[in-house]
Amino acid sequence: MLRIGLGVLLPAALVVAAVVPPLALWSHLPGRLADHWGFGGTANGSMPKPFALGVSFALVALGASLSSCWALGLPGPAAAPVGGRRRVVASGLGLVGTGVFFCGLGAATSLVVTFANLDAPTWHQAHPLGAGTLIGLSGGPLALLVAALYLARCAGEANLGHGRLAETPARLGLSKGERALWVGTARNRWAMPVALVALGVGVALGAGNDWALALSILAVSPAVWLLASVYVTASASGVKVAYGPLRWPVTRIPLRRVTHAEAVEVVPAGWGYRGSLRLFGRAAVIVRKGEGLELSLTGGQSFVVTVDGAVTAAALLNDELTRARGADGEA
Amino acid sequence: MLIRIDVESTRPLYEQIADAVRGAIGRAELGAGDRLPASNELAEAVGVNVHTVLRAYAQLRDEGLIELRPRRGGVVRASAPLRAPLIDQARRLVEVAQHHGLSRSEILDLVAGEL
Repeated sequence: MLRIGLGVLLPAALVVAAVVPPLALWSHLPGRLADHWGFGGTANGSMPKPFALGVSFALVALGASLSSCWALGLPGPAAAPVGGRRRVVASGLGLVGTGVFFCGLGAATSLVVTFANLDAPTWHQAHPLGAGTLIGLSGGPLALLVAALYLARCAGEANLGHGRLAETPARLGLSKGERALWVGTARNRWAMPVALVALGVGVALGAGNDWALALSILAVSPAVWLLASVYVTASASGVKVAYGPLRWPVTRIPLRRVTHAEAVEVVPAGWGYRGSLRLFGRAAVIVRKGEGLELSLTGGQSFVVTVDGAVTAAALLNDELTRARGADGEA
Repeated sequence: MLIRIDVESTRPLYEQIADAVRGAIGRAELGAGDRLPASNELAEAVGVNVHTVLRAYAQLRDEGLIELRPRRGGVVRASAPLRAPLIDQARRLVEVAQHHGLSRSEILDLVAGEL
């Protein structure tokens, strides 16, 4: 029921909210609609009426189709075939979260554009937008996103991965006197170009005085750059994941939190740091598709990181776990 | 890359670390431009002194496999993928030759004879 409510009814309500008011008030709107406001709050950009509203309609339609894919169990555009040893990471959360977020964004822009331009003779006379509207516009969809993720978690649909791995990881067979450090990396070959393009577009927009948009695009650049690569180490003390060329920040998972390690084939449904160990008990660091290391943690939590050579890392960790348990047993 | 050392082995620890890195380069697990683990990190993980790791890295540098840079640590040189297996084989040749009691000049003659 929650699944239908979250994936179908909520998006449907947002579609109605986005589409009905502008169509009902169509004749009360000028031929061009103000769709962009400067810092002073006065309208400074416009588009022909069908296009200005069409963008919002497209957003809600996209959002609604993504979240209903999740609710009805259809393979969404981001979901890939799930075979014996592949697993889709973050598909459920990614689809419903992204879907509801787009629905909220579309409905919010549609309503703001409609009511700001209502009864204005031309778009220049559109109602000015204050800070309150801006916060509402960005806060509304974000609040919806958070609520959707939380509810999806409650519905038990927040599985970051599903399907079981056929292959059991090999052991290294470390002898008593042996100590080992495993080091692996993974990089996304598109991340650097994307970060550079975002930087270029941001600077160009800044030069064109569109500072609000420029800053939000510029903020993307370091985030992408940071997740362009990961550097992962595994040893008797646990697992360490360091991000980006600076190898900072660092996520550490001590060995005592790990119950089992496995190499998995990751089919990304999204990139970056997905989920949250604290909120959802599941997290994944996805920089590319392919080989990844999955750690089962105490308390039923799990952590996945995409990295080359994960089979060796899993073998080493399982050896160290056996050794640690043996030491506990003797003590 | 797996750096695996055995504290109960008779082979010196720094040699074991150098062997592991050389092997990883030979198997293309480490490529040109890749960075080696930080010496303190490796030392802590395998339970050896930092100086042991630095000695291993210095040997790899002397073999022409890595460069040691002030802030970035050990970085694999472009020529290393071709060179690492050669050094490995040379080491094995010398080991076998010494095992059979050949002297230094005899080993050198042996190699020169193949040229």
